[in-house]
Amino acid sequence: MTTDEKKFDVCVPTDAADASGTGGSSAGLTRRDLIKAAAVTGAGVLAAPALLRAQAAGGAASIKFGLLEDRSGNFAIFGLNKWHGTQLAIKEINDGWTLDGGVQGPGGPGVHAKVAAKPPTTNIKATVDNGGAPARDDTVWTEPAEYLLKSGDKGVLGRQIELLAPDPQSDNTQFQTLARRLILDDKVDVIMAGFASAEREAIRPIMDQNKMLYFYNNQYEGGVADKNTFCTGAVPEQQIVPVMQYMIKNFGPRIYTLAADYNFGQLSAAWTRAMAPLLNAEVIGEEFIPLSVSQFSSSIAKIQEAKPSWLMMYITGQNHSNFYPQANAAGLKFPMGSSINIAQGYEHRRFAPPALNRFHVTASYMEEIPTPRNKLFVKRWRAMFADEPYLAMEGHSAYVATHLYAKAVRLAGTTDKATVVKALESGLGVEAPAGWVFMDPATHHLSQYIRLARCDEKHNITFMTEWPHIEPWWTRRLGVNLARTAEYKQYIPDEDPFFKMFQKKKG
Amino acid sequence: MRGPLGIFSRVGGRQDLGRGAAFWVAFAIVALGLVAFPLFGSAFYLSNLANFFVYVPMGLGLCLLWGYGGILSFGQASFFGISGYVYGIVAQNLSLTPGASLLGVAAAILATVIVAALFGYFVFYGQVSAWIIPLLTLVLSLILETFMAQTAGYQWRIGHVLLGGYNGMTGIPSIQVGPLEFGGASIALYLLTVIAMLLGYLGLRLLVNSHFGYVVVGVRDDVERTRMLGYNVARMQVTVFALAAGLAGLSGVLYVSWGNYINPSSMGLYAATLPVIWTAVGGRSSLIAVTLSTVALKWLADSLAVRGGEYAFLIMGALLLATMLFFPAGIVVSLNRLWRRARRQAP
Amino acid sequence: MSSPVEREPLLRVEGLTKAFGGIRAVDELNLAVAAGELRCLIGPNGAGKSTLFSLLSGIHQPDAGRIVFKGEDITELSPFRRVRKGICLKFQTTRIYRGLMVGENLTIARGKVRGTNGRLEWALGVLGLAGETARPAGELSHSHQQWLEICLALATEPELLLLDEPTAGMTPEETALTADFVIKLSGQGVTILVVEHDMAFVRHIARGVTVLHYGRVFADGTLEEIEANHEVRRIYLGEQ
Repeated sequence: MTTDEKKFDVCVPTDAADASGTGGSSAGLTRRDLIKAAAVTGAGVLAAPALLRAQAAGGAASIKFGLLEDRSGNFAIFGLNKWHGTQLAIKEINDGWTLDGGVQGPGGPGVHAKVAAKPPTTNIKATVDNGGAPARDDTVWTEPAEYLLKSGDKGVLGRQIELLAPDPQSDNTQFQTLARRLILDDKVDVIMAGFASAEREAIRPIMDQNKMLYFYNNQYEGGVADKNTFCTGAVPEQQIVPVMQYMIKNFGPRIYTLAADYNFGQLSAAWTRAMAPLLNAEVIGEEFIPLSVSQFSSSIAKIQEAKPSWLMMYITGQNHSNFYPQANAAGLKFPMGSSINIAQGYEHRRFAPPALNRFHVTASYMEEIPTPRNKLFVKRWRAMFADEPYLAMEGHSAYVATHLYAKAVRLAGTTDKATVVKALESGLGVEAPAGWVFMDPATHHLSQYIRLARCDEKHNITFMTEWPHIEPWWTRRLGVNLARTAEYKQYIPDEDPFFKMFQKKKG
Repeated sequence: MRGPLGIFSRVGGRQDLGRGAAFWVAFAIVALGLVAFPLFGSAFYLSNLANFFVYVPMGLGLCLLWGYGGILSFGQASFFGISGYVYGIVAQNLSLTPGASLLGVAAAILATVIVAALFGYFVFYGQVSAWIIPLLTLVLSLILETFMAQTAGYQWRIGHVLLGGYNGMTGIPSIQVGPLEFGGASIALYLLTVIAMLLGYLGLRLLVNSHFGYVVVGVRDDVERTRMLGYNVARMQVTVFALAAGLAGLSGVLYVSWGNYINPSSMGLYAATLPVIWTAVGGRSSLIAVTLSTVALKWLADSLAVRGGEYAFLIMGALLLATMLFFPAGIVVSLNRLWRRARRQAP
Repeated sequence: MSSPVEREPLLRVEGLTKAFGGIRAVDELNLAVAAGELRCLIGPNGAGKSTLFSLLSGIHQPDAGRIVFKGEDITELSPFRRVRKGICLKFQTTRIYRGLMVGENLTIARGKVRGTNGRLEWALGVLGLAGETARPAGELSHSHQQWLEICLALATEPELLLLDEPTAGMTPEETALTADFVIKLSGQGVTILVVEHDMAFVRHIARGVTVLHYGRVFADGTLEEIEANHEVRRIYLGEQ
């Protein structure tokens, strides 16, 4: 264990505390570190790149893994969580572990991991006709708690993974600079980067120019169809449609949308508008809130006047999270549905009850998932990062993506990026802690195990229903098949004629 | 001051630090070194340095406007952004036309100058009080950032180019002249930024030492006096403002050629403040000081991001604070004064 | 010296009025100045002398009345255009570019004019500034700074020169030198209006004198006439 942790110490520039496994979600600002940082800067290292690279290189044969996640600035709480997920996965891989799974083809769940406790040995009909108990779904479907297997490898192809993770500081231009640095200077084998869509779009052209393999591990508004890019976060068809289904069925058809006034909010609201008629519902009102706003009295008044059945919430960021306590104080009692809050920003832990009461979110992962498998995952995570405030959705995405990459490299037999892309397109499915997930060859997106979480007045989480396997079908419907035809763009809903096709129906 | 070699004596004039043979020899050596760097620098270093040099014209523009013209503006980032967006719109819409990117460059810088002239017209001909001008330019950058951030939908497009909202505009092609592409990691772009930096510096140095330059300084030192010597002060201020904006526009097109991407945060509050910091820390009264400080501070920010992580903000903030307290005239300018004083006192 | 009324005056002021916060600094003032004249404007404090200059130069706009210069109504004209027409003001409190060298001050004042300005060269010589082109203007003595400002005004090649208290703070010798200079300048054809408190200067000039009081022309005539005027004496003594 210690050799690998020391490796971490060398690779991760800032956090000496992390190496001892005592958790580093908030790195202490020691004077020693500050002086060291200032001294290094002042030394004029531009003239001596070779010296620095010699210090960082853990070994000539290591696989260089580039990670660009914000550890300071606006998105720090999300980036730190994803960084930890990546570190946990790399440690497991270097120690010789891998996620259960492999090349499976889109045969659906149950092909690999789902085995009954006892296979049926007798004719079912005969058993039932003779008064025996009918077979039941829940006996066929069992999920082993242990999701890790020995890979039979030390690291990947005998090479350890070396993590290079500079801090882009929630700054889009830093993303660009650091991406170039990782690609041209450090010559990494893969890059995983970005929280906000703006950050992703800032570097995707650079990835494409340099044919760099790129993973974007975050939920987003969907539509990326890029030969070099793989997305492991949830997309609207996996989150928005299910939550709408549930909320409409349980609370009613009149929807009022509150969305952040930028791409994610606008596009998510467009999805809601388009899907509502198909689900026999109606968006009776919409409001787009600028990112800087933190006072919601007029919005709350409008909501009270509109009297919807439930609220569709696409608000984001520190400023917007103030809506919940304010709405609670104003006595707003409408149920709320979302694809983003709680699971990503753990508002139910950060705000006092009952601010998030009646909140529902469809998440690809939450710390509270009660399966034995997830309990094991949380235990392992907290063993490495004891101070982690919350295991958020995207830390899980980052973790899964890292293991997926390792499996693809093993399958490809090389780190050559074009070959690894092909391996990722071979039909890989893995036993993620959330459940079995599958990397779709055509869209380069991950199928997701979606659970609907409900937050009650004490901020306890209950999972009301789940969709074990939702495929990323939207870009497929647009005709995207990256395994056959390379593309390098992002689609938006307006390019999809289906979105408008069923709008005329006014019930 | 007006010798037979008019231009040479003017470039060497006293409106900037550094005169005489020793300075110019050093300048030539550095310039040659920069131009020759591609011979022994890696693609990454070229790309990184190009990124620093991209911002020098914008810093020099503010130096002219604030240091020499006396007008503090937070608007350089706005014009940087307008330029980047206009280039992106024109170059992508006309992508099939030969010379599209050059048309884009021309359109971008022209648009920037026009917007600046319009803004300047209302501000300077409207005789707005001097202390309000920085606030107005700040408001301009906030308005532009906020407006662009909400252009996410499909209806926000010009031609077939989406503005992109908060996510920004991607796929902006690099400047292309014939077969030569000025891409982010290319030698061509590196040399272009070096040339832009050198020519920008020399050109402005020539300007500030010219008659026009002296009048600009006169407007800064005593507006009333200059007006009463027969100068249309408002028109001069608009001219200088538009010139500074044009330089910011130059930085803008160089940036999108380097990064193929622009988004509203390039025009936001943080971006608007950066040129002011570079200029203040170097010393706004000197073009060479601002050139040095812009490159140095961009390099510092880059180094801190790679090695210092969360200390980056702290160190930059502390640096600015220290400069304001101990070197209010700017670090380079103050050091120059100390050096000259020491030289005079030396036996 | 021909009488001012025989030909169209260079400057004609009619019914000029300017009030500041209820107080009329200039009150329906009428004045005519002939081309080539050298005239002193005197009067007690608050008589409106400096206000008149600020109105003539365009710093302030009058509430009523008009200013006609070389037959043209310039009342609405902005200050910088009046300078281009040929009116230049030396401010009451010296305004020069202290941070710049003397030579640089002059460069700005001269504008883009090519060729030498003989009158300016002569003035610089007489006033002791010819060898000081490399000296920072702020380092000059107070009197030299005032002389420099006069030279800056001359550099604009004015037809009408307005001097507001040019000898304030000067020694008697410097005052005399200034007076001699102004006389010679007038002899070269520049029309000059001088606001002064120093009667020694006014006597040295020994030309036409206009007395202002409460924003109006109180008396007007030759130096001898004004000196003999009991009313003038009264308003001065009465004010003290």
